[in-house]
Amino acid sequence: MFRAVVIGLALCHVTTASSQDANPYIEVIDLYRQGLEEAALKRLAGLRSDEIAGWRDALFAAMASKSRAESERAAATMRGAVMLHTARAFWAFERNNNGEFRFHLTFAQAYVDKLAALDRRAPFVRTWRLLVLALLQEGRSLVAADQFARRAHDPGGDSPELLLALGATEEMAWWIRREEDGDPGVRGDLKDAERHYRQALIVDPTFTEARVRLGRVLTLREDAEGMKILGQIDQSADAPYQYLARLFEGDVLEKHGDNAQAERQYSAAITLLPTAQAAHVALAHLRHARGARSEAAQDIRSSAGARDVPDTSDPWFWYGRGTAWRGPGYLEQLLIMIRL
Amino acid sequence: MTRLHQACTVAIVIAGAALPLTGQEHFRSGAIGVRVDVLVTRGQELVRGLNASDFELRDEAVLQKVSEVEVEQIPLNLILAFDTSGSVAGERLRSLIQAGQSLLDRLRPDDRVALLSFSTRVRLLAPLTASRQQIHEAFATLAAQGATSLRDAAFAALALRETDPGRTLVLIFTDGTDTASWLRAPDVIDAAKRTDSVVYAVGLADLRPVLSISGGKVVQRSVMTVQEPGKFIEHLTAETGGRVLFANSNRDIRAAFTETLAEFRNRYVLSYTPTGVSTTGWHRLDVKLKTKAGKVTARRGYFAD
Repeated sequence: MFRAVVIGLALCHVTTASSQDANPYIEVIDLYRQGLEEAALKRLAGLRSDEIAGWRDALFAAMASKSRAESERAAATMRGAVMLHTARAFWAFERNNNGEFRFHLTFAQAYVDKLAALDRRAPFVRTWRLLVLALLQEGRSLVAADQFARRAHDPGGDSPELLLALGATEEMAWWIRREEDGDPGVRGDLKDAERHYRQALIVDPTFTEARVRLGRVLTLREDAEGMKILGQIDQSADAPYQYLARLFEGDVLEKHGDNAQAERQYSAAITLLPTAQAAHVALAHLRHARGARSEAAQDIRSSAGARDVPDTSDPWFWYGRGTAWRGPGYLEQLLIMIRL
Repeated sequence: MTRLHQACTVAIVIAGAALPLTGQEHFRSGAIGVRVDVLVTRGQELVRGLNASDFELRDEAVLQKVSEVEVEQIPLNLILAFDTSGSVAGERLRSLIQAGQSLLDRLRPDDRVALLSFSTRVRLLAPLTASRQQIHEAFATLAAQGATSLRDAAFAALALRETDPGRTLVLIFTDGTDTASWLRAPDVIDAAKRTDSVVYAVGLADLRPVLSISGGKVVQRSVMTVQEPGKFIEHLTAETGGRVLFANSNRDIRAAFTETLAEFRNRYVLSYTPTGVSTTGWHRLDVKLKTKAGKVTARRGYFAD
């Protein structure tokens, strides 16, 4: 996703690169900051790790300079370096090259730690952490997401977005372990997920996604409050959130044997987003179970037979990937912050 | 939320014409009775030449009087459900398509075929049809990318079973575990109990290195072939009286498909009108050979709706 989004954004404001301490590493960082990602990643691959470590230490020293101008310039270059190494890390991640992934993510993390020492809540620092969590959740790499989230935790108060990501990691792990025969490597505790979502809502009571997720985990824990919270997701919410809320309500009602009401909720979800498939499948299954086989077959034929529907048009797909859908937005913000 | 909304509604397009409705399937009814698909093996070999009098069938532990239906006389509904997630891209997809085409060549004229693909989304590329050309054209549209909606696809294949006297074989090819379905495993197993479709699955064996220490170094001695179906697919196939076959490489997918079809054609179809049992609810089935040696594989039971 990372590279695709970068290419899609195609930074167009190419200006003269910084002349600061010109060396191959800085040149590569500047290439990246100019939007020339492919060229930057290719040249980065040609640099030796011990050389990069040396240039990184030089940047650390420059940032500690008493000259404010030099310090700020170094910090700007470091932000570019963060994004360069993050891009390379997730390039390796997509190719299952865990060693290179960790190497570059560790580099990026080291820069972020330095930047965070100046201002822990700087937008760049916060957004970068959210981006990495989104990408790890998209790759369903929950051990890494869990470890990363622990480092990102701010004892002074986490942002609602980070709390959402923390809760989503727990919820994803629970689902993979329980419903997919998988071992996510993380315990996946719905109580922890609930706690994070509640905290997110305390910080931002208008955070609809946290409210939907809170309702969902409560229903998964068979807590009656879940239906009450899902019921709060009304027409004032965007359609994908309403869709998820109606889908989750139908799931609860079906389990309780209230098939008529479950069918109404699934149908409401279909009305909201007619091409999203999960609600069609849920409705077909419900009908099949109560003996309405030809209706169920028709539900499947109309949904699975639909042409020209994008694979990822279902909010349920994104729901299962935590905060992944937020990744492109975070990346766009970060690239604007480092643009030369 | 704008971005999520955009992501989810890039193309709000629904297929225009709804496909024609079909009638309800009849797994069983008092009039036509219950039909049970049975496989008999001895070791790796299929046992042929049996007849109804060789079998003992109990419905809820009550012995039933069975007759055998000539398999040759029953047309086949073959529902193919192919995993087209990202991991299938390239050579694997080409092998899969070739295996599917090869299967078509082995069907009889009155057999019908449907093609479903599943990745992030389940797609019905061809409804049940006797037209081989339509299926060939559907194969040509297969493209591999995205996640794996295995459970949703398995349910879709079961739900597509139509009301006709044909036997339905659902053949699932998958090389991975589910990462995107809405339905849970018990939902699909429950649906399987309500149909008479037999589900076979073809998976790819996992190749793992066998390591040892030699001269103070870890060296690879050989490669071990591990055939481990996921719990869901193992449960689903067993519940319907089918089984899981493995291909050790992409090239072996065709052989696994051919073996599946041959095996399905060499099963026995037993028929009986239930007596002495309830007309509703779950019925546990127990099928065995009276005197002859062999392992009997059949569905575990059925729901009488």
